[in-house]
Amino acid sequence: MNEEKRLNEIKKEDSKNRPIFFIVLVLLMFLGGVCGFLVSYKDQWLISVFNFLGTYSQIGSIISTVCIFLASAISITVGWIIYAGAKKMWKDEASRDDNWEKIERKLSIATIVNSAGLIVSFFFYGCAVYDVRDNISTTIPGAEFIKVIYGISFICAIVLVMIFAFLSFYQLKKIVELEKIMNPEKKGSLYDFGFKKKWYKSFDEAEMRQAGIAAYKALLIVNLTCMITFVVLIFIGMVVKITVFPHLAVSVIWVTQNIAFGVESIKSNKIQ
Amino acid sequence: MSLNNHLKEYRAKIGVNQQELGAMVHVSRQTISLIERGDYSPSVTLALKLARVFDVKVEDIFDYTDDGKDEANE
Repeated sequence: MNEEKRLNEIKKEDSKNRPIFFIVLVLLMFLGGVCGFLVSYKDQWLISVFNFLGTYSQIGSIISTVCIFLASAISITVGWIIYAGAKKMWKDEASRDDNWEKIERKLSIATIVNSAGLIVSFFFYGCAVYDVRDNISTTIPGAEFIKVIYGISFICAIVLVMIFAFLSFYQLKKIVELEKIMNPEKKGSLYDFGFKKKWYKSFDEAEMRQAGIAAYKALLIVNLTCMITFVVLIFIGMVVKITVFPHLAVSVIWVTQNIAFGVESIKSNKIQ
Repeated sequence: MSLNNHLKEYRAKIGVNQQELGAMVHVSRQTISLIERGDYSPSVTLALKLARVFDVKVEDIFDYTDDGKDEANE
């Protein structure tokens, strides 16, 4: 196929998609304008929400500590139920082969629940210890009582997140153990800091392909999530002083994942 | 493009399960299962390894049928 013919094909494909692309772009710009207008229209409401959160940050910390407990309890319990189901299926040697995919699926779901629970708990931990030097206004009814509870909940938050991190690690260890029993070719110990690298190196060609597809789809999802979060932060930042740190955090994640994916794609050309 | 295979039949002939066959060609049980179900087309290296295990030609295990569909668009 000569270059000119190929170029015509590209132009034809572009011209087919171009109108929709620009229509969507105009609609998004319009939507952005509407959102910007709504944000400026409701700016006092947004400011009062942030002021409220700032004034009652110690109450927020207490609630966050409770949320750490809830997130941990839910994720560990759900994770154990799923793991126990997988283990039960594995123990039934007669139907083990028929249930193999189901067991693998259950273990994957248990891992997702485990990591999601840990991340959510870390978020609530961040909320619980946020603005630790802030003093609650003495004009608020029950301020002294809230201060005492805040002190207790602050320590509870640290203890809870440590307990949960340990339980989460233990659960992950059990999941990895069963995976390794099922797949003897899998290598790596969770106590090894290079576990993820060793685990990845023990993948065969089909698993590598599976990981590649999953990584690309995850890239698309995280890109979209970063873009939406960034737009929301821009709108909020227009009327409320949230500083530029949230924008920075999202940008760091966004740029890191894109550069990392690009660099790793180039590197993977050398993989046999 | 359609890649059919007789892996299950050959595996039954030598009397090994998916896990044992996987160990013989250094892949996971899941990969053998995916190939048998037709959900994964193995690499040339793996196809050759499998053929060597059964002492047959690759074409004896795998059949390629061109059904007019482009794999990339499937």
